[in-house]
Amino acid sequence: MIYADTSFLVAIYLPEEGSKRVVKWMESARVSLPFTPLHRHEFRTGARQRVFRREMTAEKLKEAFAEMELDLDQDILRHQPIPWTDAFREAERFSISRGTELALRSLDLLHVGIALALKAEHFLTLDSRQEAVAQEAGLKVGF
Amino acid sequence: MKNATVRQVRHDFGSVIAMVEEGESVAVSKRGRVIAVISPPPVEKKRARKRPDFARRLKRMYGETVFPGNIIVEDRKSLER
Repeated sequence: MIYADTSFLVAIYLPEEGSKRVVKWMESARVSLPFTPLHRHEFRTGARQRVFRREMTAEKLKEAFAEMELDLDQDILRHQPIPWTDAFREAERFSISRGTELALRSLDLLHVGIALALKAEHFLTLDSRQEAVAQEAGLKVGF
Repeated sequence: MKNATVRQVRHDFGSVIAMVEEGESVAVSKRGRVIAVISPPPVEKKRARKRPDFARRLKRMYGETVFPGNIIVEDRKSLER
């Protein structure tokens, strides 16, 4: 399984720095990306911040949300419940092993924990710190 | 699998159906006994279809605009001390 974090997914629907790379990957990919309630919450909150900053309109926000729902209907993204217990266990396991040596953020650990709990092998992100954590946890990174 | 009571289904069906929409099955109990399970429909074999033209879609929606940075990365950084 390939797991993409929200920094990757947001760049499909909003013109973020990194969108060109993400779109290029999406156009060649033939897999559905897992989409959890954490992705939805992070994506929607981030997108609303773009409206708050007056970088996009409320109408464009609605349109972006609608495009995401369409991609869910078309299996570009696939609803994925989070196996919470396993995800927290994996996140905590990594925190125990590296938490005193690396600058870890709990949200980075949580995404990695979810990816590991879902048995993902590959982790896609535009967040360099998140990527470093995923790589340290043994996931293949980069795209 | 998630759990709900008949009372919850009656009075707060929205929260039950929200769990189902996110891919969960919900066991509905009455007096401690499971009497029903509400599940998402079985995954249909998807028809072959063309993937969206992601680049064209972004251009249609936003023109040449590129937002500064990545909003999720910024949001995470804002949580740092």
